[in-house]
Amino acid sequence: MSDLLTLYHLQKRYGSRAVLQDLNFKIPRGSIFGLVGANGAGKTTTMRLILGLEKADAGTILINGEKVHYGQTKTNRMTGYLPDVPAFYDYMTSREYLRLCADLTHVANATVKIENTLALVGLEEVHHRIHGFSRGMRQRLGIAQALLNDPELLICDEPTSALDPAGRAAFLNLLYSLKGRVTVLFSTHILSDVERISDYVGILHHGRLAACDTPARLRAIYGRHQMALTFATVAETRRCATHFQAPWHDCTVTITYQGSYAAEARQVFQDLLAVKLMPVNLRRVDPTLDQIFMEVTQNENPTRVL
Amino acid sequence: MDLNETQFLIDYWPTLLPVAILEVGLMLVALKHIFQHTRYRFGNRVMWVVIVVVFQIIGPVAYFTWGKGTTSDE
Amino acid sequence: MRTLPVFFKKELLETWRTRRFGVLAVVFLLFALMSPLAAKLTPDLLRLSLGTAVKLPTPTSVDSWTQFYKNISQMGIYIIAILFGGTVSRELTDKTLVNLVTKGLPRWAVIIAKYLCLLGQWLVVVASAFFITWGYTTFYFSDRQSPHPIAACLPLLVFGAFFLAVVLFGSTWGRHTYEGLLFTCLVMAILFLAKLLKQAHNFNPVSLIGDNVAILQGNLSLTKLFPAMGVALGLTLILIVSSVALLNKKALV
Repeated sequence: MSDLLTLYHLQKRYGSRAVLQDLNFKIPRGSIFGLVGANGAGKTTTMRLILGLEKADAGTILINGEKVHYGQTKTNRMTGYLPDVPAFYDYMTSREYLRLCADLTHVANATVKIENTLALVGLEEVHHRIHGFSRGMRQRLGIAQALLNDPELLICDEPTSALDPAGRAAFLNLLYSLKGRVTVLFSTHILSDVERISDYVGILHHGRLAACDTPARLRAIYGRHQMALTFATVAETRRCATHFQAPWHDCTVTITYQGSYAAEARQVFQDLLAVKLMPVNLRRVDPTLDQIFMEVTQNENPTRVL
Repeated sequence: MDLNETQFLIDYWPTLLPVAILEVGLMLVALKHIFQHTRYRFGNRVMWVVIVVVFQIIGPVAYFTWGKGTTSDE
Repeated sequence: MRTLPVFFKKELLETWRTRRFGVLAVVFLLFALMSPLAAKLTPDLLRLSLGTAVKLPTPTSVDSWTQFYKNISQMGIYIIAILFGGTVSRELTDKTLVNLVTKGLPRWAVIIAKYLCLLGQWLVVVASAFFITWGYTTFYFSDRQSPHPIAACLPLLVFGAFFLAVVLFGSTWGRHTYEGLLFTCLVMAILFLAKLLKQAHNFNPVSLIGDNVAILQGNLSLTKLFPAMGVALGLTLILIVSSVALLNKKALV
């Protein structure tokens, strides 16, 4: 049993709209899996199906080899869930809220466990009620309640989308620190977050997993080789873009190529000399997950210029 | 009339006193809450102060059910 | 089964910290204190406005109890509906149940715990109000016209059990507090309309808050209202079971 979570042929539709169409993926135990997709791609639905909060039209979900049934909470003893906007009872303190959660999940030695978890998320000094909590504090309390019963699978729905850059970095570090101990499935539309911490990336597009692999392999398969040429004036930029039939933005033309950089660069220089254009800057662009995402989610055959 | 009023108070203080304490208490708790908060579910501070002071019982009840910004009492 | 007391404790904390119980208790205590006072003062007030020549009957303990039942049945229960009309719908709009349900809190426990907490509060405030009014009534009116105070209050307690189930169901059914309140008002309107059917009188739950003074005076036997109590408790059970079924179907988005 090396895979903690397995999804087989998962299907879900709301009325006539198919949200998930034949979704399959596995998450190896102890790894961090980033689920990427545009809004409405089916990320939240996938998570809610795994939690048994929603009923799948077809397909099977196994957590640790146990089947998930809608409305039943047996498999939930192994999962911790952080909703996109975690909601708490504002009139409680974080300790009281965690006590409520501990009582529901029958956590042994609850008082110690609560203090340890609060220390882990950095809320141990906070004694006032949740009412006065900032967005980041709520997110940290959210992860505390999700981790309280030592879940094997932690599910986080868009955990970083509402946080400022500092809060995001802190949250990602916290997730990363769980690596190996807890298997993490998190969704996001901020691709740099996924690149930073995940072992596996799944790109969800129109209810299907358009790509699923390690970030390195995705880069190798889908990454486009590009170079960026910056010019001094817009007129030059436009002339260059027309010549290479390449997209441009501000004063930069982006040229996509196949093969080696050296050969491509030589060719570009010759062309530039021929049309008497001189860029102020030329550099190689490493493929980012953003590009890979764009590449993967383009329905049409990706057009490769040159 | 003065005598009547005194007599009235002597006769009825066992009920009047707790009624006054409860009404004023309810009003003060509501006022304290209003002045500790700047935002309400709707309306503004002046409006709620007037409602709570003018309408005994109903005013504070209305404030605690509709006016309070959140469920918390901080 | 072990989750029910956990959520019940949360409900108690909620009604205390959100000051709902406090407001409810103060309002019912005021009703209890003002009922005998109003009965005693009404003739004086009328005399002041109409002139001293008007002959008015001396107030009795029956007037005090009449005030008491009027206050609770015409004001008290609606204040309860307003205070607690959001008990389920607010949890759904605020999404506060999602965390707890994914942790294994069964949805039936939510409904049952909420109902028990409401019922407990009702019994406490009505019983306190009842004893206060009883005390002051015997203190101010030393007549023997109200021989059955406890028997008169019993139907009110039963009606409360039914009314709270209506509020709870309305709150589970409605998406907002207001829809729940609408449901509660609708049920009350239907029951009051049903009062026009004289044959159904002893079966109608609203008779439980209309006949109290007659029972108090001994003009009506409590046993006459047993059918209405049966209907009220039967409906209570149906409403609670339906609330659980309804919540089971709702998506906790």
